Amino acid sequence: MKVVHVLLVAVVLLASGCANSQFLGARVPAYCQRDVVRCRIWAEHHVRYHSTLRVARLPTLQRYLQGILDRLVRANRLQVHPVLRLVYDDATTAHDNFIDVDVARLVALATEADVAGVLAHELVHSLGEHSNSALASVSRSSLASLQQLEYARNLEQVADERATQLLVNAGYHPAGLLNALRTLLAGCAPTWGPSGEPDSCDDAHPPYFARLTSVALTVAQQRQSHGDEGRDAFLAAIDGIPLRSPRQPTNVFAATETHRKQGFDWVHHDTRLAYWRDWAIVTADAYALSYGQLIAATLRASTTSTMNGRTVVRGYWSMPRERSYLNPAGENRDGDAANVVRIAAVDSFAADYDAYVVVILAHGHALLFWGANADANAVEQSVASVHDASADELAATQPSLRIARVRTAGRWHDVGAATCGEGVELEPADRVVAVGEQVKCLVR
Amino acid sequence: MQRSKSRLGAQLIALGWLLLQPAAAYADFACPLPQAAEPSVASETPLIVPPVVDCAIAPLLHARRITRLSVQGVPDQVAALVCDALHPPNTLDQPKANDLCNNAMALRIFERVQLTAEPHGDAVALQLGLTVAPRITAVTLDATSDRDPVLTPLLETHGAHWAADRIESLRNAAQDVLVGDGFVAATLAVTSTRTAAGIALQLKLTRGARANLARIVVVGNHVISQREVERLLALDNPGFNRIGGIPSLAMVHRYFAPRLQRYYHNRGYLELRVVDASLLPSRQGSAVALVLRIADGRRYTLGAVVDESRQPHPAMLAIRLPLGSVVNEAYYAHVIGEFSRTAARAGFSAYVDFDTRTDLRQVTLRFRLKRRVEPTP
Repeated sequence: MKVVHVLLVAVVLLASGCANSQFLGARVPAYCQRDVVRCRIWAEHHVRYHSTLRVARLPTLQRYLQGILDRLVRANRLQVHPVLRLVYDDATTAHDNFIDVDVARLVALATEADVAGVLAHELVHSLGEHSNSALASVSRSSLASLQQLEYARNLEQVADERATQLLVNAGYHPAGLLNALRTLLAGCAPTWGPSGEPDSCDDAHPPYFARLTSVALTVAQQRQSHGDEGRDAFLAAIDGIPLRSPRQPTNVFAATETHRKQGFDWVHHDTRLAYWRDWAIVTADAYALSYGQLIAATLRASTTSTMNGRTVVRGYWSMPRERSYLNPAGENRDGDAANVVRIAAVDSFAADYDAYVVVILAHGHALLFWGANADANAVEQSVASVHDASADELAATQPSLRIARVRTAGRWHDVGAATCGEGVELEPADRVVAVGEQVKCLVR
Repeated sequence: MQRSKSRLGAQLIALGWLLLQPAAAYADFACPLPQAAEPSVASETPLIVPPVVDCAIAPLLHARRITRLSVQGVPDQVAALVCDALHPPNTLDQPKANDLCNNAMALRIFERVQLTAEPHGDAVALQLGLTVAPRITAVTLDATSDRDPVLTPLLETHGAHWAADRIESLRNAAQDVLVGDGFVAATLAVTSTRTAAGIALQLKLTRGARANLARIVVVGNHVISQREVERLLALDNPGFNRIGGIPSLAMVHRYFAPRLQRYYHNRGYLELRVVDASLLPSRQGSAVALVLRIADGRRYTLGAVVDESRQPHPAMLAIRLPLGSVVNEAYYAHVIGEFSRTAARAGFSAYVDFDTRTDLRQVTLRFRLKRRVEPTP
């Protein structure tokens, strides 16, 4: 009878047209030997899940992450031993005996302990066979009820609360998962509205503060307060990996939201913070431990990219964290004294983050950063106002530095050179500033 | 009976143990309060709002300014997060006190929250006492219990915080899955016992026999035939949800409901809802009926296609759909996809949006074209 069941499952899998090795490598649940109904449900679900997955072929990074996973499994003597798979999908999940990790989320993390925290969370899902539960997928269906969502949240909370213990047993720093959650959920922090209700990123997980608090409590209750962080090893492992699938179309309609916001394609250099590409320096604060670190990296990259006395800088901050960092008061609040940096002016549309512009004066250069989500008009207004402020700041704070001429690829008829203060000229142009265009800053 | 008495005794002892616990092993942590303080004005008509448990505020303290809010019972690094989550107000009244307690309980790690308010001149100082829920230290299966994979999520909860409603949610879910698979008489009992170390769980499953599907009943469907419903049900899962075969609510939820929704949406019924799907056992319990409740709603037509582009663009770049025709989601997605691709080839970005007028039963389709500017090096 067992043979018949196994054969039946094999026929279902093959008939479903999925013949790649990733799929066939799946662990068939033990209940397939005695319960053909549930086995069929599992097989159907399995085929659909795996057939839509975009697997990333990054063997070196995969081996590195599998090593972290193996360490967690061995140290905790777990009964499961999942295979790690890198994917270009906006989710990190445990499914059957696979743990699928989204590349874009992975590179947002800072240390190996953070990654181990995420993997430990997924390991608990794998241990509890949460993906095989019929209700786990019901919570995403049109029939999802509050009870079903609560069920999904409970499973997530169990995974959060057990993961830190797995982390500690494997010798990692206990705050790994907490740091990872802080990074990955940065966009989910509650915006206290008139109703006073906190927001959360999705309904299938506990709210933002509930997750952070329960993990922080688990960390605080650990006797061990230290452990491996593995920052250098992690940075080395992710250096140079592509952030999207080579087969993924690049046109504006197909580009993912994450990709459009991040505005870059590869993780590059040791810091991932700033690099030179396409005539511009691209930065991303998601990788920075501090704003000082971001600026330092930007400066290192920017000084090497100065051409004929001109520094061309284009910066992106992909997450709304910049509000806390970009302070018009200006000093580098992280105390990174080695990099003397002065933020001359900031104009950020704090309410909706449509656009932001920062002028940073350092090492004899004025670095003009700007970024936007979608609204070209907001960029234009923002650039206009920051230039007014920056001229005053320049004169007041660094009189020895003189910007001879600032040209923007935009329409400045209503601004004019006269309003820009001494030493700054704006060259009128008859085009509208477009998102993605460079802002050129000429420095003498 | 003897067994239930002893269980009750154990629970009473556990409750006594809980009440005898010190409120906190940690020092007070003062939360930062909002800076813009509201004036302290005595309220003429105090709000009559029932307090949440342990959060009652004396009426004479209503409308007083809050000068201090501290949390007690958690380490400092956790207390700082709790303070952020509390979102403390400037002044005190019963609804705001309720909000504080509810926000603390929403963190899902406390089994008790108690708010104490002390007058402080003409203001008030608050203290929130927090009792962290115990952890689950052991989960065992009763020797007489049936074994089933649906128990695994419950078996793997050790180490997590215990909460009665959370365990009940997991128990309900496991039992629902069994019932949805045709084990209509399945029962799962979970016993929680409080020990000095934490909470020990014991599970006992009685699964019973599996019933066959005898009937499919669709309630609320006025658009498609019963036969068509049965065909749609059987499309993905030839082994399930057929008369005489094995029922599976999981398959209904996963595949049938979304397919039925697409089916209706492609015929203009945009308000369709699959309200419920359940298995109704026969009196003998050997057979079940699959009952689907559907609200098919009204039919929508296309009211207008509006061009909201601010920039000039070739006239050929437009969405062409017959006005007054029945809305067909799949066809519209195809037309909009073609339109977007054509616009991209002509150097434009296309943005398309829908408005649904429920009073007119019409859909208005709006599009905007914006010329794309490539970055110049």
